[in-house]
This record gives sequence, structure tokens and C-alpha cells, in this order.
Amino acid sequence: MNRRDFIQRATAASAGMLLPTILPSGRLFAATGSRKVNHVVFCLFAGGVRTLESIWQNDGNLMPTMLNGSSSISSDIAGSIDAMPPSPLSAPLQTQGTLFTSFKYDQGPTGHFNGHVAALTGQHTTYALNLRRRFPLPTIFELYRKHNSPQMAAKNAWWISKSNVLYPSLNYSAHPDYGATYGANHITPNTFFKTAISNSLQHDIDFTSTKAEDVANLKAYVNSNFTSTVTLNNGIRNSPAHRNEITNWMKTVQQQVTGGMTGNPWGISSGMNSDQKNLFFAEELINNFKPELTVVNLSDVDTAHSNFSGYCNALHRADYGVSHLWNTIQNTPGMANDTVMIVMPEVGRNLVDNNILDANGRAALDHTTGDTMSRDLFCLVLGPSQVIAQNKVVSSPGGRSIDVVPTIANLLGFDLDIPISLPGLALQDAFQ
Amino acid sequence: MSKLSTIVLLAALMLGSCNRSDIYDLGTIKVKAEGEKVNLKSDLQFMTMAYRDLYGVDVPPAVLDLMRDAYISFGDKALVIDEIVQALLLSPDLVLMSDQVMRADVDAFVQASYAKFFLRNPTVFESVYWTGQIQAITDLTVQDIYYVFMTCEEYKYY
Repeated sequence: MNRRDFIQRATAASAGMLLPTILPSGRLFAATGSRKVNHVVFCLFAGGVRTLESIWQNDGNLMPTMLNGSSSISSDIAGSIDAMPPSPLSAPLQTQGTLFTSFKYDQGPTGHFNGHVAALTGQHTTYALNLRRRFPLPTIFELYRKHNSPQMAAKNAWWISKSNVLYPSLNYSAHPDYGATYGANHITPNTFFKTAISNSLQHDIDFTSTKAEDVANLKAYVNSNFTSTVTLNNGIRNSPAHRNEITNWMKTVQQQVTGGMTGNPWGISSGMNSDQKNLFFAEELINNFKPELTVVNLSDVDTAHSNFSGYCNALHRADYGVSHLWNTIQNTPGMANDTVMIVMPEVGRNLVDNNILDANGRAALDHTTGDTMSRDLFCLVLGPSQVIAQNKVVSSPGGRSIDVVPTIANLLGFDLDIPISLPGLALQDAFQ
Repeated sequence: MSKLSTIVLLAALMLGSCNRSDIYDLGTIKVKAEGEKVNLKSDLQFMTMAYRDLYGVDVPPAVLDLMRDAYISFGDKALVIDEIVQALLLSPDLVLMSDQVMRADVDAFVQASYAKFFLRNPTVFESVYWTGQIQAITDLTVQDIYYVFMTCEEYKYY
């Protein structure tokens, strides 16, 4: 065998070894584990929710579209609870999955940021985090994108944050082996799609295809004449094709906004609050991109710091919003019956009030003491009946907020490929 | 020693005794080549400078807030910067040089564009390249060229 034959045969042999495996699902390759579903939506039912007002229904069932129970809302606060449209679901959400009633945020300060970081990284955050620095350990987005094979594009992973306070930096970590390269697309739609910004950004320079090519060539020439001396941090990067898709979607939504079509698309008589708006935009995004991993958060319940009745009202609105989101997922081709949704607050709230009274004479609640009540959570795992145990309640202690990351990794089949130590465990009790 | 040799020796001693570093001490500042850019503009600097470069005045606080909100609210920073630059260029408030004026003196336009956006003169090669491109691509507009300058790598540095 001469040298050329050897190289040709060696190349052919190695190519054979690298030939992709086409899976029954149509995907090329696979992570080590098998997937239970192809989409996960994690709804951080955040802002600080006590189990007393949610699953224990201390003031009546404020979450009737999610939870079983028909107890009426306490008469002194009932007038502060806005009427929502009828549930889009035929039965409460918990009948379509497994409800963990003794979940814990078991370590770390009971603040929003620590709670979010623990939920999104699967790591304990036992120290005061530096809000100006990204967390040193990878987020679920980075684990998902890096440890699937082939590695996943950013278009498949979205972090939809309710506000720009604290949260934008949670789309990737500072870990040297992960970081922006594997981060999620982040958007704060309540800000990005506000009317003034939509008005300004909705039009693009109209480049014909020939002109676009000319402009690209000119830009390439200018860039070729410049050598940067420091690393440019562009955040996460989408491929040019995906960037076009994202831009087109943005323009569509911006035109809806400027056309007045997003003011109250759910037809709520008292209007939509910002949690519901965030969920509406999440639905628009899910409809368009059908991401494999979506995380969306809420926060309006945090009004509890000064207004207990407002907190209950926000809980009631969040309940409707989450059911609306699940209904949209189940009516989205490609997502229906192939999606698991996990709903969990990031922290609870203190047992003892802070003496600030609202108009109904109810005392407000902080989440600062780290007491048991501020660590008690619930977790609802919803999904297809062949994957997720239906209408099941797990009341035994054990589940923790750091278990969500390994659960998502297990559902999407890459849990065995993660080289980072995760202290949590997949929520096997929720699986069939 | 001849008179001439003596004069040369004295002149050499006098010149050698001048300590130039005492006169031209630049401390720790490194002398850079013209146009060399070694610092990345911060997000705020980028938006402030972009506005000023186009409109010739400081960015109004309300406009800066709007740009900042858009920037912070989206994770793909290159994408959102592109969107912001396009929005600035498309604003009805912006008065750009007409394409006819540009084409009447392409060389002057290229010189002015490099000065405006890169704070330097174009090299001879750059000048020849751009002049050739503007003349060859007949539908290339001032807006297109400004877009190229403002979304290229060099514009992100100072």
C-alpha cells in the first residue's frame, strides 16, 4: 500500500466512524442518555411565593386553574382579586402531572437572585452573590447546549426574563469551559417590545439581495484592515441564518406592538399585568421557534413586601397565565405532547409579617429571614402521560430546587454527559 | 589636532550633553500609531458616540435611555447593536449628505468618513478601494456606507 492509498483508506475508515446516526426521531446523533421529550419549558413562578397561599390555600384557592380545590377566597381580600377569563383548560393543571408539595430551597440566602441562580444552575448558592459578576458555574442553558450531540444552537435555548433587574446575566456563566459560547438567547420582552422601542427598531434598511451582498463585502474589507487588541464581548452569538430568523420574528412582534395588538391580547377585563405580558411574549416566541429549552420567570407577587392583597391578586393572575401558557404549548404543533413544563417558585416568604398593612388591613411579607416558610416551595411537573405521572401528589419531603437542572438534563437525555458535579437529583417520582 | 577637528569634537560633546529624555518624557503613555485603537467602547460610550457621530450633538437622555433599554433587553449584542444603528440611520430626524454630493467628490467623502467614524485618515489603499467601490456600485448610498462603518469592528474600539 503506498502512502496515498493509506491516506485514502484511513480517511474513509475514520469517515465511517464519524458517520452520523439517524435516530427514529429524525435527529442526528444523540447524547449518551435517551430523551424522554424534545422540549422543556421551565416556568420560574417567581417573586417569592409561600406555600400557605399557594398549595395550602390558606386564603382560599387563589390558583384555581393550576390546583385542585374549590375553597372560596377569604372575604376580606376577595374584592382585591381581579376576575380572570374562564380557564383555557378542562381540568386544573395538576391533573396533568405531578405536584410536589414539600419542595425546598434548602440552602443559601432567601433572595430572588440566589433563588434564581440555584434553580438555573442546580448549585447551592450559600454566599452573597456578586450581582455584577456572572455565576462561576454553568447554567442549564450551557449544559444543554454543550452536552447535546451535535451541540445545540442558541436559537434552541431561550431565557425570557420578566425584567432587566438582576436577571439578564443568567443566560450564561463565567465558567471558562462554558460561558457565552453556550449561553441562551436572552430577551426581556416587556422592555424590548415596549412601544417606544418597537417604534424605533421596527424598520430595517431595505437592502436588496445584491445590495446586502455588496454591504457584506464592504464590511468584510473594513474588518480585514483592523486587528483588535482586546476580546470583544458580544454576548451570545447566533449564526447569520438564525440571526435573520430572530430579526424577522422581532419585526413581526414589533409591528403587532405598534399596531396596538399586544395591549390586552388575552381579553382580561382589568387588563394584563406584566407577568401575564411576559408569558404572552413567551408564547409568541414558543410558537415561532419551538425551542427545546425555554425558561421564563414571573415576579409580580413580590408586591407582597408592601401589599398582601396585591400579592394574592398577582398569584391569581400568575395562575391564569401559566395555564394559558400550557394551553398554548399544547396547541403548538411540534411542542404538543412532546413538552414537559416545570413550574416552581424560586423562594418562599417569611412566616412572620412585616407590619405594613394594606387597604384590607392585611400585613405584608418579606422573604429575608431564611426561616422554614421562606424555604418551602411547591413544584409542578407537567407532561405527556407516557412520560410524567398524572394527577399525582408527592407530599414526602426530599425534592429541592437544585433538582430541576438534573431533571431537565434527564428529560432531554444529556444528564450522563455533564462533567460538572451537580448536587441535585432528577425528580424520578414525577416520571412514569 | 587641527582646528576643524577641535570644532567637531566640541560640537559632538555639546550635542551629547543634551538629555532629550528630560525634555520629551512621556511618562507611562505609550505612543501609538495614528488611528491605533486599543480600548473597547463601553455600551454607553458606543451609543453616545454613534449618536454624536451621526447627529453632531450629544444624545438626548431620553434617546439614550431607549437605546440602553433595547441593548440590555437582548442577549445577542451584535444583533441589537445592528438594530440600533439601523434605527439611528433611518430616523427622519437625521439629515444625511445626499448621494449626489457624495459622488461629486468621492475622495473627499471617503476622507471625511474615515475621520468621522475612525478618527483617522484612510491609507492610500483604503482610499483607492473605497473610491473604486463607490464608483463601481452605482446604487451605493451614503446610508449604506455609514451602516458599514458603524457596524464594523474598528468602530467598536477607540
